[in-house]
Amino acid sequence: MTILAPISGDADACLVLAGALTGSATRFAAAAADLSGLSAGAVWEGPAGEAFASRIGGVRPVLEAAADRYAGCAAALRAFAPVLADTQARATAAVEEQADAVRRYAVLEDEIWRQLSAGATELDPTVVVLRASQHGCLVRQRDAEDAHARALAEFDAADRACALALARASDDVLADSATYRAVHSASSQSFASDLLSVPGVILPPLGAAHAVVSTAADGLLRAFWNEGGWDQVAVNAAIAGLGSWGRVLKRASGLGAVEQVTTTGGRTVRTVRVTETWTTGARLREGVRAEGRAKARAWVQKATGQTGPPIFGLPDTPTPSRMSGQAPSPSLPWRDRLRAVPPRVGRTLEEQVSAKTLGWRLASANGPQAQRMYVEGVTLEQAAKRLPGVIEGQPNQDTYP
Amino acid sequence: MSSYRVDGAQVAALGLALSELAQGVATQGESVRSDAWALGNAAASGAFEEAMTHWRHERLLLAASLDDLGAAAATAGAVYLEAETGNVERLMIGGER
Repeated sequence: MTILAPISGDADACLVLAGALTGSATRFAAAAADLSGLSAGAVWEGPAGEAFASRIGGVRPVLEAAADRYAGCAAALRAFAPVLADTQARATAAVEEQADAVRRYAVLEDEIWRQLSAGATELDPTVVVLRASQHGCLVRQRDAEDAHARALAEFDAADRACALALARASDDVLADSATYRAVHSASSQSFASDLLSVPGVILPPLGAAHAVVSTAADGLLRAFWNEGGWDQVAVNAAIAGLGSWGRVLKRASGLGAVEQVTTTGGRTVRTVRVTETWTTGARLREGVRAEGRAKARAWVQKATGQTGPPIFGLPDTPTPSRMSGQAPSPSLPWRDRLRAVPPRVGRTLEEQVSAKTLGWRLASANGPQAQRMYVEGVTLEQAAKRLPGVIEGQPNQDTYP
Repeated sequence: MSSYRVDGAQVAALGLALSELAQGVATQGESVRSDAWALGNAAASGAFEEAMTHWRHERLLLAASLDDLGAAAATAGAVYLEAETGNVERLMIGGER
């Protein structure tokens, strides 16, 4: 007897995945289309706009290829999901049928043994009937095995077809070279794997990262390593060109703690309390996202004095306009834009001191780990200023023009 | 004489959008190993993982480029708007005399 195994996988999850891929494909295509419009001078005519348009030339084909790849993969998954659901259900039914037949056979065998123990023989009508029932169980087992084999064969065919479709969808200009894959695989054994666990972080070219790690960052690595690896992420990210990782650490260290300001008898009292407990990993991830959002928000607020309309974006990313609930028209008159600029509010000396120490106080409320994160964030910021050519080195050699 | 047509706010907003997209692109495919289980434990699962992860180099280059372009657009948009605002203020002061 062959022990039958169910078919693994989840058709519903496949369809969810296909939906996510379609969403990504749509966003890539929309971004490529927006860049196409911009390169045609839709909103930015003049020498600077032309210079910008010349730099997006290499990005657009990559976005289009990514859109094609994701759309192709989504189609492959959609075609595969119903076959997976059908064959999986039939295989599962066959597994249950076989198990039930085996159990029933065993029960019949026990009963036959009891009859024979009581003096009956194999020719006794009761035993004959029981043996016939056992034969029926064997037939059920064989039928179940046949049904399972058919379901498995259909699944295998669909699986191969899906794999082929996925391979075709990813046979494009985006594919990594075998050499790169080998280097990356080797590198992941040391430090890159830590970095991959943090969303929103861009790895620099591996050669540059090795050079930095082997020189100036070595001391930082040794100093940080006893924290389970997140500190090594910081070093790699600091050289990744996505902004200062020190700010990320500082921001992350204060997550979950809030400052409360109350006025009693004309005296201002500032207290810090923890409202939510964060793991180090979650703290880092949110720190990266928050830093990215703050960076983008600062750009737009500096430019417009208020939040601007997103041309495109990721739906799960809270853009400033979504957060504020307003999406002003791009053609808003300048007078209205000026009115939207918030008035400068002067700060007292006490407020300034409180603001400067707020990060440390928030981190302190979150415990020694967060304090250490904050201190190392400050250290990284300072190191980045002192060693701009090393820590903040931009991996631009290979980027598009 | 040269003539330019620029919407500084829209250029700045483009910078924001590119920055957001850069972050999205940077994270694409990093959690694929936990998603591939949905296809079962056979050839399709491996092919899916490969399709999602084996454009890592281009993906990171793309993210870096988008990040750079986002910064450039946001900076340029800010400059345009500041110049526009400054010009308007100067014209208003001139008109009140």
